[in-house]
Amino acid sequence: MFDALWMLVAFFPLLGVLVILSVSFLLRRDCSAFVVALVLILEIVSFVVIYFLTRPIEGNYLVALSALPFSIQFHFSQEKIFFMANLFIPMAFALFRLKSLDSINVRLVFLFFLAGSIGLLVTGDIFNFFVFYELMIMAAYVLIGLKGNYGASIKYMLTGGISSLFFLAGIIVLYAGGAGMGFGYDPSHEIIARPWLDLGLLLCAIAFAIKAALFPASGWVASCHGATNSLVSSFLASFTVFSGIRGFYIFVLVPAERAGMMEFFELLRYLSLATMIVGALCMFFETDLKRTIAHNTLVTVGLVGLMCSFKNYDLAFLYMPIHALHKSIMFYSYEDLSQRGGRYLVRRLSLPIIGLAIFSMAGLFASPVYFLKQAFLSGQSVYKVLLFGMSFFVVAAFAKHRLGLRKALGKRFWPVLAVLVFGALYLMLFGHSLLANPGLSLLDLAIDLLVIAAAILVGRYLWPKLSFLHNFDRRLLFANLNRELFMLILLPITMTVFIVFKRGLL
Amino acid sequence: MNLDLWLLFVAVWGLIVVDNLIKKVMCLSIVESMLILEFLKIGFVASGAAPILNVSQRVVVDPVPQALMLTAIVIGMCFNALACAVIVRLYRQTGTVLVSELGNV
Repeated sequence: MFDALWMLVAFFPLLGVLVILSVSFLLRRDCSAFVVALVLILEIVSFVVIYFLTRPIEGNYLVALSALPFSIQFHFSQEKIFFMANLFIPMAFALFRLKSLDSINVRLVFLFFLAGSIGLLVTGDIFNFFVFYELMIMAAYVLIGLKGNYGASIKYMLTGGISSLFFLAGIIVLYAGGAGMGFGYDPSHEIIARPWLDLGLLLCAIAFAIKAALFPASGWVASCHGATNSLVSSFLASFTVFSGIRGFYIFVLVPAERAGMMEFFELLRYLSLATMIVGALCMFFETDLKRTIAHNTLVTVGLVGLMCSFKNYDLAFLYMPIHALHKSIMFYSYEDLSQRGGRYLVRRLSLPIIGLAIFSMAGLFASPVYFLKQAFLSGQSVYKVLLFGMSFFVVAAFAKHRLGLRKALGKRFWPVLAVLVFGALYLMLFGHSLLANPGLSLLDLAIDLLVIAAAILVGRYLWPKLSFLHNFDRRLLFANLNRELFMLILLPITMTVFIVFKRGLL
Repeated sequence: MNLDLWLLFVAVWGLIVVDNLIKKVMCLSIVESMLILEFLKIGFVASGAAPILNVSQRVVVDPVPQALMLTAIVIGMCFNALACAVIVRLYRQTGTVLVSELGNV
């Protein structure tokens, strides 16, 4: 049953497309809204069933369509549960906001996007990963232009096109060296001559560094994620970007570890650090709230990349669904605040919800991210200061938007209530954690409180004085498309020089 | 220098420097065509037959690059068509396809 379900799950959205088109042509009726909702429910139920069916499975589980060599194959391993959850969360949120897909054409494109996303989860070979990624990303190009921002769409197309070419080149080089299509999934497909492996891994690393928006190729994230409606933004920020990290893990880190090529881990570490720092600065100096939320993805990508570079895969993969939850909450709440009138209760609740999400995104005490960071930092104390700095920038970046939010809400009562609720929650959770874990550091709590206070003060007083740096990313760093593409080309050059230098080939 | 490398150099240069969005998409297309040619070259066998299983000939070309590149060609064509459609929309909206006139998008 599991084999059949795992193979079919990617085709539900395509069946949905067929049904919509058939009904539209034969009966002249539009059933697209119903079919999209049905497909989303079917996928969510299937994911839940798969979760329970796959609990006894350990290691790599491969299902081939035929016994012929180079047959299409499907793959499952326990780490895919995290990626399933990463897609499950925006899908569950999407069920409540299907009205934002406002025409039959848009719904059809959305179903193609879903098919590509789920295909990425189930595939067990490198070429089908490429094909499903292209299906997902091409639908994303269209969905980004939904609100008429075609500039963002073309920017994403060029970025995605370049990364796909690097990936295709990587597949070619790996195949030329003798690798099978199950490369990355199946160790028996990784018997490959050394110079080909070096070059193939490097090309795949470049491709997925661009797809995951690692610095300096990260200028497109805010433009593209901020350009469309919240439903699409939540998918892009939670699943699409992290598919890049996942590709980096499967096709670069796993084979590199097996081959003992640790340079790729070091490379990912430096890129992740640069992405985190630049993402935090862009976020802090951003004037638009939706773009601020989008920039935050870079901070998370950096942190997840950093965790992967230290082989803390479990923590990194667990972080992804948590991030998906934050992003979905933030984008939907932003839409509520910016579009709906004061009649709605949901608008009144948006500020506390946004506050809770910021609190959790910053990784402050008692949030799930806090415990993830603590587990990660237990072996890496050098990075503690850096992560406190990131928390500071996350809180400060949103603190500066407080006036706009208060204006949107109309009354001061709700922010005050939010602060009181958070204060009570904070003390309660800390008390509980202290009882459960007497060794919990009071110093960490003090630093967290200091971070919040400093961030709010800086957001209030310092930010207006640094007006010459506001939006520095789009005014200076990525001022136009040509500069952005130049930065994009800089990434492969930097990565190649790093690997060549580290391997002593110079 | 190998023709492929010249093509790659010209296309990358065009991608960064050329101002026209349609030409940028064409540059991407050139790189893609170069990659497809390279992959087909890998599977090529001099005087090899078509890889049909019933054929008694022993020397056949590698079918995998051909099968994979057919898919890549279709994907590339879709990409080009979609890119042109979006650029036309952008032109109708802004009146230009030049990056220098579009500014930060």
